Amino acid sequence: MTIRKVIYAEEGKILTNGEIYGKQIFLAEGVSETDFHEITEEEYNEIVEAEALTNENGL
Amino acid sequence: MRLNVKFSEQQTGFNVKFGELQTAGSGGYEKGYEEGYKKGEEKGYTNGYTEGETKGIEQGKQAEYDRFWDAFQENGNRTSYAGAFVDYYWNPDTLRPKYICKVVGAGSSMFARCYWRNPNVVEPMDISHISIDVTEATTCDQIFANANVKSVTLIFSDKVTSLKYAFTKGGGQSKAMDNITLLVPNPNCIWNNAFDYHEVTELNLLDGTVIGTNGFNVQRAIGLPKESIISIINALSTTTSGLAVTLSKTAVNNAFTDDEWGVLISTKPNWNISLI
Repeated sequence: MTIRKVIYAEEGKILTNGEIYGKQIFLAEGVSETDFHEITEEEYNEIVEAEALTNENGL
Repeated sequence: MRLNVKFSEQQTGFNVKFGELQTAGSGGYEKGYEEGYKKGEEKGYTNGYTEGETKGIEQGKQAEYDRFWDAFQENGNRTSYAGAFVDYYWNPDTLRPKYICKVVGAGSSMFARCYWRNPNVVEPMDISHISIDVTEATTCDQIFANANVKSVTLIFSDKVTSLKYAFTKGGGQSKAMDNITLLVPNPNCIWNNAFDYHEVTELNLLDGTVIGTNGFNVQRAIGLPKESIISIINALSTTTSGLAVTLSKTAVNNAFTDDEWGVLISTKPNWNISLI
């Protein structure tokens, strides 16, 4: 069994590489932890809300 | 020889009596007949009317049901169901399609924001009586977006290309679905935001489902059981790279031991697996 690299966000933070978001991320083969940085949960929630279904992007 | 013949009075009395009986019997028969006929007629009319009215009402209802759904579903030939059942214009008595809802092409928003019309009825709609055929469907964005529906099974073919916001709970106004069962064989199907804000209880991706584009995110499903999570991991394409599946950390920790989880995700080393 291949051992996977796992990265963890600090309390109250979310890890991201701009596309992937998570508090604990099991990295795929070839993906480096240096590709990721932390953002606050508030910043993350703003990103999620911005993508939420609205009348502008749907019914 | 001359015979002396006398008729006895008794004989005469008998004949008279017999005559009387005959007359009385005849009167009784006629009277009985008339009375019986009249009463029978009244009763027959009443019962016939009631029974006729009841049957007539049922036939009328059926005729109106047929007339509406024959028109709405083009006598079973309708294939464009985009937005067909959108919004809250239905109730349990009326949302009863006559024909299979066969979606050819776009089925976007088919049940988007579909609630029961009665605002006092908050329970999710049971649409298990509705046959939905999506084997010819292509784009089904928002197909159940913000709908208050209990459960659904959708069997797509490799023709389906997009399920963006398909089961999103956008504004969080409707309850989470009990069960979503899907077959999505097209690895290029887009799943963007398909389960945003959705705390779906069970999500089963049937064998043959392949997730290979844009990743997969069902992070709000904090109660997702082991079988559901396994079906999701199993569906991840083995040939893509750089994509991520995002799951609820709570759900994963509740469903698996560390060893079990390690074994499961070892089958998809090409995927980033994010817990949030």
